[in-house]
Amino acid sequence: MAYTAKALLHKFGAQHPGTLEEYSELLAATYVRSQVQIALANFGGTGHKLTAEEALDAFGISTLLKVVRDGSVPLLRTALEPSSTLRQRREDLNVTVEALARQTGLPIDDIRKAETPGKVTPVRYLEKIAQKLGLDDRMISFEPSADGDNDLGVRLRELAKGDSRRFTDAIVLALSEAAWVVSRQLFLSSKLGLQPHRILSEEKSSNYNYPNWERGYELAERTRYKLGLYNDEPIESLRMLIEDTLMIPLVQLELDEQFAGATISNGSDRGIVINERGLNINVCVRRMTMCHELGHLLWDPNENLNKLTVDEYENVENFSYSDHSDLPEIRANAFAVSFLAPINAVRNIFRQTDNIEETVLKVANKFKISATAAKHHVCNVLHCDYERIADIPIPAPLQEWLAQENLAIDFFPFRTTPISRRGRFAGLVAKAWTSGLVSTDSAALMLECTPDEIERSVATILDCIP
Amino acid sequence: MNIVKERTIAAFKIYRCAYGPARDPNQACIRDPDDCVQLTPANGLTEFVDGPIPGGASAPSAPPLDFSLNMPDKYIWAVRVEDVVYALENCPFGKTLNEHTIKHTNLTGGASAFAGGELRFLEEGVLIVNGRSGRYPIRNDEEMRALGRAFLESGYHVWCMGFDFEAGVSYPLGTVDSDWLG
Repeated sequence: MAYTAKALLHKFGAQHPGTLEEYSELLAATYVRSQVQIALANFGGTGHKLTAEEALDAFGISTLLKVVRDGSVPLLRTALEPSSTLRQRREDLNVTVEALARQTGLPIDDIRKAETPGKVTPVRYLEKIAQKLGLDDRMISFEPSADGDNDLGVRLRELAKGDSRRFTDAIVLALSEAAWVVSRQLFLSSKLGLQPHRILSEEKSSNYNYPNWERGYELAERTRYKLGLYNDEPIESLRMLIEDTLMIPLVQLELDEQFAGATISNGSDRGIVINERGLNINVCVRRMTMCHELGHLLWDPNENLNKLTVDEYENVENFSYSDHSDLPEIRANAFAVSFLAPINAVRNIFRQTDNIEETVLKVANKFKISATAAKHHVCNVLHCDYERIADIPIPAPLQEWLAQENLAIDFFPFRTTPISRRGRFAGLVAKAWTSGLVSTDSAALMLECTPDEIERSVATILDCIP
Repeated sequence: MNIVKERTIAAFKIYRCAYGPARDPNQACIRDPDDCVQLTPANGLTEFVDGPIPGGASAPSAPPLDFSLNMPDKYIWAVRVEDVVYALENCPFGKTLNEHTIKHTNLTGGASAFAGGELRFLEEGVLIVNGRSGRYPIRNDEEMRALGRAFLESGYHVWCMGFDFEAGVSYPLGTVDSDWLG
């Protein structure tokens, strides 16, 4: 959404007096930022170049008017920044300097320098560290705490303390970086005028009353209705529904093989994390995982989501009425399976076939859910004995199903771009760059590639991720 | 009282020879006629004179790291063609201007000058200096060092802020470690 000088003057002129010429100049300028200040790019600085739109969104009209008038302006509020924020956040996450260095690919000495007041660190390093820590890299130095979600930090630390074998420093940092991806993706979507589906603003449901699975079924039915998915209509691509229709960030990560996925909340931004490893290789399991996380994201209130819910395959795939896991998990499982394969559809299929085994096969095939999930679901809906159908052989998923759910990360023009930033995120970065909303430097930073690569290959990204 | 400025004259002559000639102010930063109103000694303009330090001393244990957006004791300075002058940025005269603060062009009346910057007197004979000026900016780290040496050789202990390559301007006072020039 491009700003105009007249609109800005109208909006801010009373509080920040300036001429229309100054406001026009402010929008026409390119800026460059360093660790401590922002200046007009024509002073020749080698730091992170920003478009006027980016600088305005990050630092506000008052700062930019000063830059236009004086050439540069400090971004710092105190000399303890940005070191204080970076160090505090790393300590909040209980992550070592060494681990942060490994995950950012920066030398340990540079991490230490970034955390020491008074030392100068290249701004791109600071931004890279901030992204990895789940902070808003744009706000580094400018905002103490850089808009970091403190509760998310605490939650990540608690998870790591509770299970340090699986929640290693690398996993904690991957999840905190995913939080950054989620927030930045939503920000870019908004800048490009893409509005999230209105179902996302529906009131969350704290109804986990017995029988809890029925609450999940109800929410699934309600969700299908709100999305215009009527009757027995199968969902061809859950990925497209989540990313394109709902505008929910879907972040792919490489986590411990037992983890299926996670729902993450960064400030008021929510997104879904899918583990690329483990059973999600099977497209049917992946669909179930995505749907389970969708259930958490759409309907769990903040107190239940608790900033971050990490789910294991064991809990996502094997849903049955005798499930004794957490209530939000039971509800999310019931939501997932009945959102993909509606209860009435299962009953209708059984009515037509009058055969449990055939019903299982048809449900699995029509709604593209795994054999395990289909068997549990049919048993739950039709109140039959699981043992009776446990051994039914179900054909493997078709290759085309996989293509529909793939996050377009298999082929990507930049080798250095992490998988968490490929897919829709990369598409939005490319669109924002071609629209002039973000600078080449910013696009390169977000995709972890070089400015040259951005200029050469953005068209390829847009071809892959329209 | 006998004002001594031989050392200052000699020190800044070296700088002027290396980085001259004097430049017109950056017109893009001059927005208001008030920006070029000449500040006078009666309004707070002070000529830089020789300091009390014979020159050369070991560095204190740590450089001062002290920054806030509004430093009441911050001065701005300019190397003019004939002299070096400075004034309190938030001097009472500045309050009467449209921007409520003086600019480097108020030190020069809008005339050509060699460089401008900011400084604070940390204690008797000790100052911290940078080359931040939108109107007469220093151009690189070498120029900043040369200016720092000129202040040093004028008889002061000097903490010198470096040049921020990433922003293309000098560091603001007290934001990052400064170098002890002696």
